[in-house]
Amino acid sequence: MAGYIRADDVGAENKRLLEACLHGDSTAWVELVRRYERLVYAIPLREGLSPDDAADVAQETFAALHARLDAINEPDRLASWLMTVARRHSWRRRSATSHVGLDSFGTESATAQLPSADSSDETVRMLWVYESVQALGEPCRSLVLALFFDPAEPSYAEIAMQIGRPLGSIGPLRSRCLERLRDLLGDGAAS
Amino acid sequence: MNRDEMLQKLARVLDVDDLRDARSDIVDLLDAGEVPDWLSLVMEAAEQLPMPAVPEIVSSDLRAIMDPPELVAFFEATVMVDSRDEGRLAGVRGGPIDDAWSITYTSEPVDLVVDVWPSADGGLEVEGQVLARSDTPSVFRATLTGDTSHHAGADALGRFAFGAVTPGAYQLMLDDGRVRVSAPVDLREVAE
Repeated sequence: MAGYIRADDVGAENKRLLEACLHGDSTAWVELVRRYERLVYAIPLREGLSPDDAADVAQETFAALHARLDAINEPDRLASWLMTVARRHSWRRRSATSHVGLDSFGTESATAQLPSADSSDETVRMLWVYESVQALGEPCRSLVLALFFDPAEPSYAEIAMQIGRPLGSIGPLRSRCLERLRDLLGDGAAS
Repeated sequence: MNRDEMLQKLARVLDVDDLRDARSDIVDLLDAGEVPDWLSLVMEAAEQLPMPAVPEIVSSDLRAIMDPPELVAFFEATVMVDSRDEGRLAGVRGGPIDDAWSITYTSEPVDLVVDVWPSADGGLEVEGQVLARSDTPSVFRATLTGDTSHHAGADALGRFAFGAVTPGAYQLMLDDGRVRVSAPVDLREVAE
């Protein structure tokens, strides 16, 4: 795939963060949470769970990551791993409320085979975009996520409040962020 | 999402007129009815998995997984002012709930204001704000326990809200992981 964000780059950064967490660096953990919380929280909501249940699923998913920091063998695929774990916890929670047996969903593992949906070209592209947005750094990543990914479609005034910037600065900032995102994704993104 | 839908959404979320003022070359493409490939990819990703902002209370809990703060203290908040008392002092007899009132509390780590008013369905709407004395940013969870239980996360300004609360005697618990503050909240009829 064309573009400038490579799996190796994502993997190297995730590996660095995971190793720092293993050495007790809580700032690395905060960075991991910041990078992937939005992705993880979105999964149970897409599965139809309530915001309260989505919060619980996010907690279970990141707790699973914390318990397996030393067992993530493919750090470049950490996003896929988190999506898989979040989806399984979502299914369990949904099944618990609909009184369906739980055993068939199994348990998460660091080497879990990803469901076919996670390996589809569509999901691979989605995660590539997500990682590219993450690579923008703040405040661009928050701005881009708010502009394109937030289903609430917050107003520019709301976005300004979210990212702690004056309203008048959002326009110029948006132009800079879009240019950087274009550079990261590359003009041949769809190829 | 087809191209026209994509163009419509882009015009909305990107405020194209403003972008035009900024002389962004994206506008030239959009004006020509084209969506750049990279922007199309972003739109498709967003459509595939919408991602709402994560509430701060959720985010705070996730960050705390690695280094959970230790609970250091428990405090009882005391009522400073109950606006219903003002009516009583003025000679107004108590009666059924028909108006809004507020209760102000104080405790060592926080002050607290709770506003209550009846809702159309016969329940009560309860809103509160925690005013921490510490300069350290803190995110509180609020739990109202009585005949029914209600949970809410306070926002960055310490505001929280509960809806459809049944009148009764409740205990409000505020917890930021380090400090826990308990406050009695009388949501019964106006005291005689």
